[in-house]
Amino acid sequence: MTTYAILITMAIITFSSRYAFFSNGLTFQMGPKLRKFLDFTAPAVLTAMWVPIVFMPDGTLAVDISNNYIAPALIAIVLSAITKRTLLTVAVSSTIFFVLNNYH
Amino acid sequence: MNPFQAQLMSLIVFAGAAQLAALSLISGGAGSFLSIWSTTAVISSRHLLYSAAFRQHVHSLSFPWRAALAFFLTDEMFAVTATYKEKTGYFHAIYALISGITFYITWNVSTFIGILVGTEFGNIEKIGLEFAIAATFIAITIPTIKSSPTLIAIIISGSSALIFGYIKIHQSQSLIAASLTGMMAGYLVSTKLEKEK
Repeated sequence: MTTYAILITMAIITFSSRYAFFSNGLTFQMGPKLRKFLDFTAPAVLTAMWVPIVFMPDGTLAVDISNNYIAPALIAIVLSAITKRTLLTVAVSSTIFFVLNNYH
Repeated sequence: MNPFQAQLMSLIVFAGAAQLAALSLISGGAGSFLSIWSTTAVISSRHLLYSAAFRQHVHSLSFPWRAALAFFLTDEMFAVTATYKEKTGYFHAIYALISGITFYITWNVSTFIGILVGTEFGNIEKIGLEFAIAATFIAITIPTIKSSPTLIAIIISGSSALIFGYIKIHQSQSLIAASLTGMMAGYLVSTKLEKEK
């Protein structure tokens, strides 16, 4: 019973945070300044998610040759800058990571 | 947690990071309601940003549409929809919904396979799923850099994430703090550039 209560309350919390600003009960208008600020949401949040995965794979900063995440991540950056192709970038860099991580 | 409950969690909570955190709290014996609620709320707080960013595009839609888009509003759905908007110039509700449902099905099928196979999440690193997530975010973000404010937002956000991580701020709080710092940097640079015009 407790587990179901946990699941349902978690569902309510995650849905609420997603629906919060979709609500029309909230009547405020977003000014141009706030909109411009929010324009940077996608690049800022996504970067704040991938950077720790690559540079802090075990939770602590690891910028050295033994960190197998860094080289394939740099390759991914270069590939996506040149080709702009998501799938190709993910496939090639993940393959390189897999090889490094299992045979390095 | 039995297999049915594990699947139910993916079906109704539909939030990877929050689910993993709750599972580790429960299995670690620290699974009180209060700790699970507060952890879920902190991890989910980034969705407030997504919600705010899409507000102007969805406020004229009907309640079922807004509720459905909110339910499927994950990192991945936000990323592809925001990128699509960047490319085409307008917010496409059907595109958002379809990509959201696609990620929902993928996540639930993966959960189902995970339950069947009975593997723990411990080996994710070896297979490279963690890296694949990072690579996906890189591949989505880099092509959207078309102006110096976006570039600055990315550099500041990334370096803040490292600094906050280095001084041991908890990961989910560091994510929000670093994101807001990057967004503020992007905003300030673009305001400054406009003034100079």
